[in-house]
Amino acid sequence: MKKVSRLLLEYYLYEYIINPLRIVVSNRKSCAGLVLLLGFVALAIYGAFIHVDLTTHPDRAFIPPTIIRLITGVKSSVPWWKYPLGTDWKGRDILGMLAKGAAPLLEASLCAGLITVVVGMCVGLTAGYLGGFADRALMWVTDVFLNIPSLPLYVLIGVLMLKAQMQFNPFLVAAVVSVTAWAGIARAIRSQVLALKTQPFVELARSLGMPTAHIVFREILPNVAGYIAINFIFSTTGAIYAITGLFFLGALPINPTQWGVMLNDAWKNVFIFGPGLYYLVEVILALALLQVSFVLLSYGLDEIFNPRIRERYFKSAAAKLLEARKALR
Amino acid sequence: MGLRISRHRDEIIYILKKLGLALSILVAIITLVFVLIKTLPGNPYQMYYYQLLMKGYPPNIAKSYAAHYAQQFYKMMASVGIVANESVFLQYLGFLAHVFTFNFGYSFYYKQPVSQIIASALPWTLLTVGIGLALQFSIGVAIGMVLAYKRGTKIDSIATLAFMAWRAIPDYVVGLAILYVVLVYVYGGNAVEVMGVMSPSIKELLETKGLTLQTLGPVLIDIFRHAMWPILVYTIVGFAGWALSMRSTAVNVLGEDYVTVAEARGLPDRRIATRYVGRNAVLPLFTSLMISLGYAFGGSMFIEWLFNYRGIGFWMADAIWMRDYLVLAGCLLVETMAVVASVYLAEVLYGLIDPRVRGT
Repeated sequence: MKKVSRLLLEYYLYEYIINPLRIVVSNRKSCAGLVLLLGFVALAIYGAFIHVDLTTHPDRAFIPPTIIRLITGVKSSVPWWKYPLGTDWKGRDILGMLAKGAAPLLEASLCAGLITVVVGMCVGLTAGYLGGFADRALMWVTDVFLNIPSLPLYVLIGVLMLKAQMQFNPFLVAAVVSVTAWAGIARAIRSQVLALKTQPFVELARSLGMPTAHIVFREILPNVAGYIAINFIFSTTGAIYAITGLFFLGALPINPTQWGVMLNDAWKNVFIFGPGLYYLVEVILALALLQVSFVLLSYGLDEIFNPRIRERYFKSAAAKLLEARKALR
Repeated sequence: MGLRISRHRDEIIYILKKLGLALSILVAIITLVFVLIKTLPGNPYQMYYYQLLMKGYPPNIAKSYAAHYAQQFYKMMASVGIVANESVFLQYLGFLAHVFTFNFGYSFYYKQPVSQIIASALPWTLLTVGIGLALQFSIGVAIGMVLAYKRGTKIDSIATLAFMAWRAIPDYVVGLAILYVVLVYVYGGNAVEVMGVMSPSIKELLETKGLTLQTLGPVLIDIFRHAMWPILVYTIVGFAGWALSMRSTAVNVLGEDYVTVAEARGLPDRRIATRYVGRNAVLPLFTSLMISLGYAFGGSMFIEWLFNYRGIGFWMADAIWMRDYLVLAGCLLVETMAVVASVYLAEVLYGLIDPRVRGT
């Protein structure tokens, strides 16, 4: 019995963690994306352990980043390892602020991606599989949310939340920015399910009297899993865009370490005071790199769910499962 | 006459059915906005009073402030048909009636009806967003066609990767970069030449002399010179998505039998690319073009705010700082109406062109 549990554990480990990772790493693009993304995760973890001084220190305002300090050779009293990305107009450490803001942004956007995908999947699967009245009703709801301009709606909700004196909470923000996002995914999954429903293997399962849950989750879902995974990534990048945009516009409670607030801060700085272009460039680069890392990662996800590529990596895992089953008998 | 109607019965039924659907969607969205507005505190007097007390105001001053605030609040709500002391259903009916007559209430911050703000702002947004969308769509579709013909080559894979990455870059970031470069390197920091809908000198000219034949030329040129930058941002930001969509639909069409037949008939490649592949691949994109109007409105909030361009997006972004939710709700509703109307038009046209769509 102990052996079986170990084998099963190994199977799950290979099936869901090691093999997908091997596929991602074997693809140059998704490997680059993964490395970049891990960099951001490391930044977020670093942010959890440091203390960032957010008070005003005019004496150390506008210290340029280390690279510029080294290139231009400006003699300053600040050692090179201090403020690697420079300081802003209040003398706050930019790297520290970026690090502090990374964790809530990643949490909120990944959570929003998850909500979007799960809601979209449930609606799409139900509408496509049941058909008839349920399909028409669900698609009507989907149409309603597809027709709302999403960001203006999020802004209205955000401002109403501000009015109600709500505090910043990553999960609440995630819920706000996935109010309309699921609709497009639901529609796409529904049309895929409609196409899959008439496939021979689904009809066979139905004529064999398989329970609905089996048909939906074992026959249909694996065929749209790749699409869902890709859309999880794209929903996440969409959520990063929306959350940062809402902070940029001031539609969520202001918090100086949020990237959107920092972008706004840097922009106003450059346009009103003049110096501090490096601050703007750094925030823009951080945002752009985070988005690109997700896009690059999506290249590998496509392959994880591609049966031809899977086969190469998953044979050993399947063998473990077979062995476990044999041992059980 | 009877014959003619019966000949077009299918089409007419289709148009009416779609109209009913569009109206029901509109009513649903208005209901959603009503529910959102109703989440505001039911008793503004108490809420504001306690807020002021917590801020350390003496009770008698807090009381008078809160009373004033509550009075303004009830007036504001009444201006969109949400009359206090009425039942929720009557409030809802009042709100519906106000919205369907384009009456979005009164903005106490800007001291004018919201519909007036929107009427003065809407033309600018439609001008820039409309041209921007048309440009990004046509450029994207052209590039997508080229990529579909070059599928499987090195250029295709590099361009696909680059476009996918580019599509994920936020528009406000691109807008900021363009604004900075244009402002500093092209106009040498002269903000009025880049920002706003027109330069102050031209505005003065327009106000003193009015729109005559002499002023028409300079005014139009100035308007174009200012609208150019938001349009440029919309175009640069959005074309990549269309190129990717067009690439995938065109690749599907290229595998169709009728394309092979056209090639076998020895038709010129140009004709096949435009008449056979292009037309059939573009058709499904039109509905998403109309839906993307909603995204473009979202982007216009950032771009118009950055460029100080007094369109709808600008007023929305401005109203955020003022917490003026009637302006926000009014702008949202007008934008929704625009999206619903254009999606409806696209679907009706699509259904008339392609009878297969009508069945579903």
